[in-house]
Amino acid sequence: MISRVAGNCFWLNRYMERVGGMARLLRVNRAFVPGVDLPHLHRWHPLVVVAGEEERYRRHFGEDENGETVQEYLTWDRRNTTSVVESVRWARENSRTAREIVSSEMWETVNSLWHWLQGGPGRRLYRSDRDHFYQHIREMCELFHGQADETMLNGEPLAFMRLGRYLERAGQTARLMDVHFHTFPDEGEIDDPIRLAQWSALLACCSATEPFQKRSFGTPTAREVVSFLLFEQDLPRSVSHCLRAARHSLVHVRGYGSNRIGMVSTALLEALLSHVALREGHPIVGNELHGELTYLVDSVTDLCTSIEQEFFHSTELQTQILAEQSIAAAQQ
Amino acid sequence: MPAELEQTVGLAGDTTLLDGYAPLPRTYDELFRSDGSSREEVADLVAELDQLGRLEFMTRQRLAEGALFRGGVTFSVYSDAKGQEKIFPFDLIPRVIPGKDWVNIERGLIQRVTALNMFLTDLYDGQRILKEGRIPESMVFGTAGYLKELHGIRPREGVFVNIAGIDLIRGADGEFLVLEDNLRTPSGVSYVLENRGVMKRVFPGVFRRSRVRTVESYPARLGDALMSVSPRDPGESRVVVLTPGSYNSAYFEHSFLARQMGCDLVQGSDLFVHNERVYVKTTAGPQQVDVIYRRIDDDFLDPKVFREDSALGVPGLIGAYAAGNVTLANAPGNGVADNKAVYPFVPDMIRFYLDEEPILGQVQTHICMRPDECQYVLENLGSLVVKAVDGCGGYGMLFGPRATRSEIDEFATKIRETPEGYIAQPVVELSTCPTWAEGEAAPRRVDLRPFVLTGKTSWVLPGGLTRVALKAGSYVVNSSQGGGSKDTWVLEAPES
Repeated sequence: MISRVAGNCFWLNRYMERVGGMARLLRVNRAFVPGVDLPHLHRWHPLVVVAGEEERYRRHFGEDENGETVQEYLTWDRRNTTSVVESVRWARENSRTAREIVSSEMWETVNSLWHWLQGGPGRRLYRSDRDHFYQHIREMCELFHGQADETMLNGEPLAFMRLGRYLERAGQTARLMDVHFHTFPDEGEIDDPIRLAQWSALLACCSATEPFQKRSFGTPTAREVVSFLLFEQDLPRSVSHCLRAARHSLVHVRGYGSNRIGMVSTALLEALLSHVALREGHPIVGNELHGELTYLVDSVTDLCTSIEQEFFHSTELQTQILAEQSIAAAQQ
Repeated sequence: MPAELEQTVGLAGDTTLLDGYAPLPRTYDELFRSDGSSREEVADLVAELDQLGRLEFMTRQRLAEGALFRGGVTFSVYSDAKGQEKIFPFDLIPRVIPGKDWVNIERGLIQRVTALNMFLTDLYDGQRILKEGRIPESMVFGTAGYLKELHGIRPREGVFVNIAGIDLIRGADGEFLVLEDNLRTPSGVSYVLENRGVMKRVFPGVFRRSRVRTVESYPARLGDALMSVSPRDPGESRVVVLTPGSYNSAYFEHSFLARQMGCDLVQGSDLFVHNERVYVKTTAGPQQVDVIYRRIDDDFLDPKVFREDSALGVPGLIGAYAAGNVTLANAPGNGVADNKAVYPFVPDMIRFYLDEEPILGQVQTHICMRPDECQYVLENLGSLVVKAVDGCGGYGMLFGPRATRSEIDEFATKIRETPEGYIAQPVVELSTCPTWAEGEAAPRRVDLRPFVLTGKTSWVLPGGLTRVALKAGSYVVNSSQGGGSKDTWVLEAPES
């Protein structure tokens, strides 16, 4: 398929995954904050940090860490490239550009979510019933991903969509877990009740509360939660599961094409998978966990950049392939 | 039921669709004679439409609009990030052309496009027509359309105009006249096909009984025409549609045509040139491209040759085209044949190249570059239509009978300053067609853009885009200025 259009498929699903992730995070934090006694700064600020928006936020709002300001910024602010409304806008642009590829069902879902946010109904619900507002967004994202699997031909475009979805999700889960580090930057008792409350909240962010209960009996420990979110292959949002699903899609994609395209990305993904496999079973806590999560987030970012270069913006590589082909032809 | 509501329903139920329809005086109506009776060739069809009644008609109009909106048959008004999309207003009362009239139009269009292709071939080569003095050189080189960089390049099969949209109007006597040739990137055909789809859904019965010629083969015919001018064997050729991108107002059409032809829709950045061949970047590596149906303007095609700042084009594209390794449809440089300065000479071209008399007439044109004609124009501005030679879409034009004193003075100044920039034509009373307006059918002016495809031979889409001025009394049918569209029904010719 056309490289740029493959990029549209990849990004469409990344953006929709990002929208869903942000809506989950905001909703869960709303539930978490009132129940615990935390210094003001540690209530909403961590969300800005994991969104990668600390600098820009500070520029616009200074030290204002008011929950309303943060929610408004992460949901509605057009200056924030990761806000819900901006992500939906870019999802819509990508699907509009690739209308001949994206199924009508998916297009209609993205389009109606966009119009809902743009028009009155979304804003009204945000004011009157915020939890319901985030819930609706999350459900639309779930609908969207379900439609991708149910209405697309199982071919190359869908493989790029799934690749985008799972890589975004792997990064999201790692970032979400890092919220913990930013909420409790000081060393402390790892199984202290407030800290555990946040780990439970993070499980909820990953729709992992019930799955976790099915695998772990009694009072949970932080170690168990961390291990579950990182390594549990059967959990759809665990880092390990997402990377494996991404590998599946990448193999699928490469099956369509030239062996020359995707070599670097495959190598990066394999390296990341073996890194994760080596860590499995080892307790990772505190500062070490923060380091590990940073490594995961950076690696996924590098991988996405590589996919971008190899598959979507590949002029150099493509010219190189032609040059090699003509040399080979001349030699024969 | 409240009394007034009951009455409304009763009225609508009782009134036939075209009841009381009165054609405008001194104006040709597509369906009715001046005495108010329907034209013989379309009488059966008019009777069927009439019997629907207004209430039923309104129901179907709503159905049609819903279908177009859901299907995303929109053009975007994309000046802001809100991404507003509107449907191109569509009127359900069809414009009907009897089969025997169409035969003549078809022949006339093919004749005209053939002559225009010969003109372009000649102009970019030996320029015989200029040397023999049939067209003054100043008319050709004085305008922006001629691209000297392309002199000496002959496209495949000598076809410069693969896709033409020739705008026709109908004067008070009912004769079809050519108003304008569009030989660069004429648009609108996707609306023809979408409108037809909707009409068949909302008027299945009327449609079936009327023996209307089909338009659905257009994308396949377009594909055939493009493939037939490929530099490589059709079996191994790749055709793409080149769009300026999703912010272009015609993006829907570009996407539609690519989807219907089953080829890729690409942007300039998807293509690159290597050793004078064009390739498209795919996830499976570079694939050679043989035919590009390009929907971006000449100026933007190749930053190496034309506008350096063009981010829409492909560096080296013109080089590949000159080397004969890729077909561009339409060929670059066609603007010299469809501008308003050259238009008055098309009948002469037909005589010169084909040794035939033009089958289709055209509107009498005064060329302001000629001093005596300019004088006439300046003295009669109040009754003429003045057009800028490089204007389009109804902009840059003066409609004398409706203009204010100051508008006329403004144009007089402009014409005196740059007479070569203007032409003038008498007002043609555009024909009307019954059109739904404020609860009843009323006469509204229409034009017609048929599409002519040329590969090794030419083919005319039976029908075309009928544009209608939705405002009462208006002569401007452009979609950017309050125009809408109608389905065009060409009836099968009676068996003789």
